[in-house]
Parts: sequence; C-alpha cells; structure tokens
Amino acid sequence: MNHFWTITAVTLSSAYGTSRLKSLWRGGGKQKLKAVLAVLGVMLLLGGLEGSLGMMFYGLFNSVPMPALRQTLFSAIVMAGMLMVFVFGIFYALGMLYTRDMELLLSMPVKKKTIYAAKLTATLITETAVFALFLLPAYVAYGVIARFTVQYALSVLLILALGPCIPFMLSNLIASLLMSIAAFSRHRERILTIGGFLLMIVYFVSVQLISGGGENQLGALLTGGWIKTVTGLFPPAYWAASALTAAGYKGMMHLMLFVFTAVAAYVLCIVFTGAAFNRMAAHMGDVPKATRKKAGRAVPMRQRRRVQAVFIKEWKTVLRSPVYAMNGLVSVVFAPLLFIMFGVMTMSELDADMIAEMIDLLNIGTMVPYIILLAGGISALMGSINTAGMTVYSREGESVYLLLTLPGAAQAYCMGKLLFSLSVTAAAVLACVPVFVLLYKMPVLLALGIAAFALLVDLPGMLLFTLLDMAYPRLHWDSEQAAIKKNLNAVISMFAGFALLGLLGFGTGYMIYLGVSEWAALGAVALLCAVVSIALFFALRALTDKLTARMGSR
Amino acid sequence: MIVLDQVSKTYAKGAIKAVDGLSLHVKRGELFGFIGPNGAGKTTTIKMLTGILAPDSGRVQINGHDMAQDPLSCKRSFCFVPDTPNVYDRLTGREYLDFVSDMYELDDKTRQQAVEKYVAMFGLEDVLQDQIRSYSHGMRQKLSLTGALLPNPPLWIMDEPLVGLDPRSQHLLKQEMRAHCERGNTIFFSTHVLDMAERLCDRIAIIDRGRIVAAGTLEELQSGRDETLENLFLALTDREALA
Repeated sequence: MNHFWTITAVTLSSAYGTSRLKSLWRGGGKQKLKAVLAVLGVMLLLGGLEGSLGMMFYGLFNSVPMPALRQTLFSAIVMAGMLMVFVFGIFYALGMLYTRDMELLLSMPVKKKTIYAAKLTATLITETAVFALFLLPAYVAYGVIARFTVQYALSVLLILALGPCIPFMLSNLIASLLMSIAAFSRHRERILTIGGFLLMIVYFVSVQLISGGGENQLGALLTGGWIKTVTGLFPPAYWAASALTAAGYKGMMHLMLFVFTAVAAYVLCIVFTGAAFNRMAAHMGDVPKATRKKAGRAVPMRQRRRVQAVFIKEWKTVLRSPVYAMNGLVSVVFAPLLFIMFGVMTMSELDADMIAEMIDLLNIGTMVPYIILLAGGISALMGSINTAGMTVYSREGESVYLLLTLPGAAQAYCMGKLLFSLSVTAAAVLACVPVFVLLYKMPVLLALGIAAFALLVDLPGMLLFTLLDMAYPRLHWDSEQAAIKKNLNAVISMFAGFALLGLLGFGTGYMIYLGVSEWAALGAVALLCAVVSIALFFALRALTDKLTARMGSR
Repeated sequence: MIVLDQVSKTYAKGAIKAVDGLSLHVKRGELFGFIGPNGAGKTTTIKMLTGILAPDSGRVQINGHDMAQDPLSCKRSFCFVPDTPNVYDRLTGREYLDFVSDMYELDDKTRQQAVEKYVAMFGLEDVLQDQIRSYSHGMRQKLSLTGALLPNPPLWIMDEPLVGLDPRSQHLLKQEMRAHCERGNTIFFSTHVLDMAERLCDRIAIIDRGRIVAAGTLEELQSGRDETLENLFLALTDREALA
C-alpha cells in the first residue's frame, strides 16, 4: 500500500474504531460474539434511522399532489443537502489539519501533498457517508413515488458517492483561504472563531433569503424561484437535482456534467489547496507560539471557590478553542438569529397595519400562554443544542487524572461543570430576550417569562446529559474535533434532547386538546420539569463520587 | 506512611495481571524509589496508590487512612506528578496554577509564596502568561511539578518526575526531594534512572511482572556483594534467565 492509502486507512480506522472491531473478530468466541453484536447494533440503529427517514420522506412526497411541485420539493432537498455539506465542510476542513498525528506525519519521509490528499480523502469519505445516510431515504422514497428506472438508480448511486465532492472542495478552498489569512497572525484562533461564526451566519441568512427570496415559501416552491436562485449560486446542485428528476437525454447530460465537475473539483482541490497546505505546514507548528503574550504585568493570584474555579476554567477552555467555540456555542448565536430572521421575513411580507395588529395580538392575555409555549419551546430547542455542555467530562481527556487525585474535587467539578453547561443554555435562551422585546415589541416580563420557561424545560435534559457524560466519558481523543463533534455522547444527548422536547410538546398539545386550560397545561409542564430536575440533581450529587472514581479505569 | 497490602489488579477481565499480590510498606521520612522494566506494573501500582484505579483485591493505606474507606483523607495527604504532563492546554501557566490552588483551597498568601518559589526554581517566570499549548515537553513537566507541589502535602507521589527536565532542573528537583524528606516527609517515586535511585533513595523496591522481586536499602539489596544497582536490576529482571 502506498503512503496515500496507508494514511487514509489509518485515519479512518482510528476515527471509527474498525481496528478494535478487527481485533475482537480475531479473538476467541466471546470476543467474536462481541464484534458481531456491535455490528448488528450499529446496523439496527442505522436501519431504524433510515427506515424512519424513508417513511417521513415518503409521507412528504406523497402528500404533494402535483408532480411538478413534488419534483421541486425533491430538488430542494438534494440542494439543501449539498449546501449543508458546504457549510459544515468548512469546520471539518479546518479540524482535519489540527489532529494530534499531524506533527508525526509531517516528520515522516512522506510528501506533504500526499499527507494532505490522504487527510482530505478520509474527511471526504466521512462526509459522503453522512450525506448518504441522510439523503438515501429521500432518494429511495422519491424513486418509489415518481419512477424507478435504471437511469434513476445509476444517478442515485453516482450522486450519493460524489454528491459531497464539489461542496466539500469549495469548503476546503474557503477554509484554506481563512487559514492563509490567519496563519501568520498572533490572533489566529480568534480569527478562525469569528470567521467561522460569520460564515455560519452568512450561510444561515442566505438560506433564509433563498428560501424566501421575496416571495413566500409556498410561492417560491410553486414557481421554482428557489431552484432558480440556487441554480445561479451553485449550478452543480441543479445538475444533480436535474439528473435525478429529468428523464432521458437531459438527465443523462446533467449527470455526466455533475460527475465530471465533481472529479475535476477533487483533483483541482488537491492541487491548489494542497499547494497552500505545503506553504502553511511549515507554520502550523507556530500556532502555539502565536498564543504567547508579550511579557507584561503579572496578574495577581486570587483565591476562588472550587466550583467557581471549575466554571471559569470551562469557559476559558471553550472560548479559546475555535473548535469548541464554534461547536459548543452555536446555539448562543443562532437562537436569537432564528427569531430575528423569522421576524424580519414575516414582517417584510406584511404592511404596517398588519404588523401593528400582529403585535397587538402578542399583548392579548389569552394569547400569552400560547406565546410562552411556542417561543419558549423554540428557545428551549435551540438552547438544548449544547454540545459543550454535553461533553464536559469527555473534554477533560488525559487531564482527568487531576480530578481523580485532587481531594474531594469530584463534587466541585460536577457542580462547576453543570453550572457551565446551564450557563451555555441560559446564554442561548437569554440572547433571545432582547429580540422579543425590540423586534416583536413584547413586554419585558413576557420575554423573561419565555426565557424562564425555556430554561426550565431544558433543565432535566442538561442534568441527564451531564450524568451520561460523567458515567461514560469519552476521554481518549486525538483532536478537539473528536472530543466534541465526533463524541457519541453529544450525538446521543442531542437526539435524546430533541425527543424529550418533542414528548413535552406532544404532551402539552394533548392536554389542551383534552380541554385542559392553556395555563394549566403550561403549569403542568413546568411542574413536571421542575420535579424531574430536582430528582435528577439529587441523583447526580449522589452518584458523582462513584462515577468519578470509575473514570480512572476508562 | 504508605501501606500496600496484597494489592492486585488485572486488565481485560483478568487476562492481563498487571499487579499481583503486591505488598509494600513505606515509612515516614523515607525517600522511596520504585523501579522496574516497562510494563512491570509501576504505573498501575501508582494509580492504585493515588486512587485513580481501584485494586481488584488488597488494601491501600496512606497516612493511616484507607483509600477505599476514606479516599478524601488519603488524597489530602499527598500530591501526584503523573508520568505524562497532561495539563489544560488552553489555560495559561498562571491560570493553571491558580486553578490547582483553588482546588486545594490555598489562600492567596500561601499560593503566591509557593508559586514564586517553584516558578523561580524551574525558570518558568517568562512563560507563565502563555497558554500551555505553547510549552515544550520539559516546560509542561515543570508546570505539572509546580502545580503538584503547591499544596506541600507530607507525601509526594511521582511517576518518573525527571523525564523531560533539563540537567539544572533535575538537580534542583533532586535537592528539593531530599530536603522534603529531611523535614520528616515522604516521597514515593518511580524512575528508570538507576543512578539517581542509587544515590538518592533511602530504600528501593524492584517490581517485575506485577510482583516485588526485591526491596530494601541499597546495602540490603546488595547483600554484601559489591554490585551496582544496575547489575542487580538486570539480574533480577532478566526474564530469559529467570525462565
């Protein structure tokens, strides 16, 4: 195997634990059984996910009566998938160059461009797998409803395999541009964090504008305005959508165009961004030095409470790492932005009188519980996206020995970390308050009530996920990216959090449907969350010492 | 100060015996060296000693307290320097020391004095405001040592503390270790530098395949023969010859 394949294989194997699986398979009967069960478990999980997504997409396409509209909807899904690869690809591209093995690889007698090409390919394979995982059900569902021809199946195969190629290569170009700007700066980390957040905001606003496009959502879909705008901005997405939806010569031509562009993008990216990596690689070792401050006045040392010390340490760690900040604090930026975009876009379609009427509605007493439920529910959903909080123990990594040897530190660590976790959610939820007050003209008390409700609803989840990360911390990681983004605890917690909120939403709606008053339903949800949170808090306190002590053998 | 009584630890559900019925007694005021080949069980023993790992069987006592029954009192009696200086990369050196001081609840004056002493000793003054990510391995080790020594407990447990240190810092640390024991305190440390163990330690234990194969003062280990510790070590841990 040449260097390229060796590095690609090792990167993938260390990321997905396939070597562990292989060693289990080579072991005795029990070990073999373990390997089989692990594979079966993963297949069951993925099968369940694919099945549910497939049913969801089938239901969606089936509910659209007009074939043209269905085709537009499907095209929108294909394009949205590529746009997602493009945006998240920027973070993957930045993260892939800062893994712990990079120094080792750069010291080996291997060409830098080979290292880069291998890392890029391994990341692209991951992106392709995620892309296929979420879009295959949509492709199959559309194929079942619309038509299932050989040409369609071929298009599906090629677009799933090459779909992420072009957007990911574009992400790489932007990431290397960002890195080239930041590479020689003392404030590299800050530039990457702020630049990353700005890119995310630009993406979010663009998607909102594209999908609105001056028309309402349905209008945009019916007239194909959405498609036209995306076509102008990103033609390969249109070619892919057309290859899947158009039959015969036109579809085949667009498929070939897409495949050719994808392969060309991959090759060009390796040549151009690979060359940029060649230049940057020599400066990658400078990163730590760039953080050095000029000698100045020494900050006096000051005693703090233990919980406070842990809390401050957590915030400093997250704010100083672009990867932690961009992944962990995403909700703090996006929760208010979501409400701003919704407000601005809704209001742009209404005249002044209608806006005034709408704002008056917000102040009618009978509407208040609904507003709290709706706005609070959305705020809680955004606040629950808190990967920094869901990985508070995992992110300790090898430094966990300190927690295990400090006398009586377990409880202080737990409380400090829990406070940090809650403060991230609180920051996301509270950031929406000024938007409610200034844009939606809500009374301050109502806006604060919404925030309090959202926080209360998020509380059980935060306690539960802190407990999960304490019980099963993923302490062995080779990059900050792996510590937070590829951490299974974060993935489980996020989906479980959505499910919890969904259950609460369903329960509330059902109570109101049964005739329970809105205030009573609201009170019941708040009470339930408070009681569960208190119970979980005491459980967390009681289990902290035991679960922390177990971390040493992990 | 330290009592290890028939302590055992296995990994992989009993398949790998890392420590096998190990018993040791380290007296107050002793500078105790713990040596052995790679994979002999040194780090596992130290992890059990510090409460990071729980033994499968046996008893660990520190300063009269049982680690299983009263881990808090045990941990108040010692500080720990791990074999690799894994410290919080994103904090500055000063922030890290402040954090450790907070966790040990050291008041402003005590921490200031201790930090000044060790920072000057290891020459960390110029880098204390920098993020730890920018430190070399040796500097991290110095910071890890400084953080561990801040609370100044009666027992220091150190896993290969000299690795990565420059000769001057090694010399100063050895002096500090000797001085600590002369004040009636205890040090338990592992090392691969036999020369150092020979000259510095009051007593030495050699561990191999999870068992203590020899323990005592250098004279006791030599038992009248004029042999260096290196020769003794090689003879006691020569697996082929022993097999």
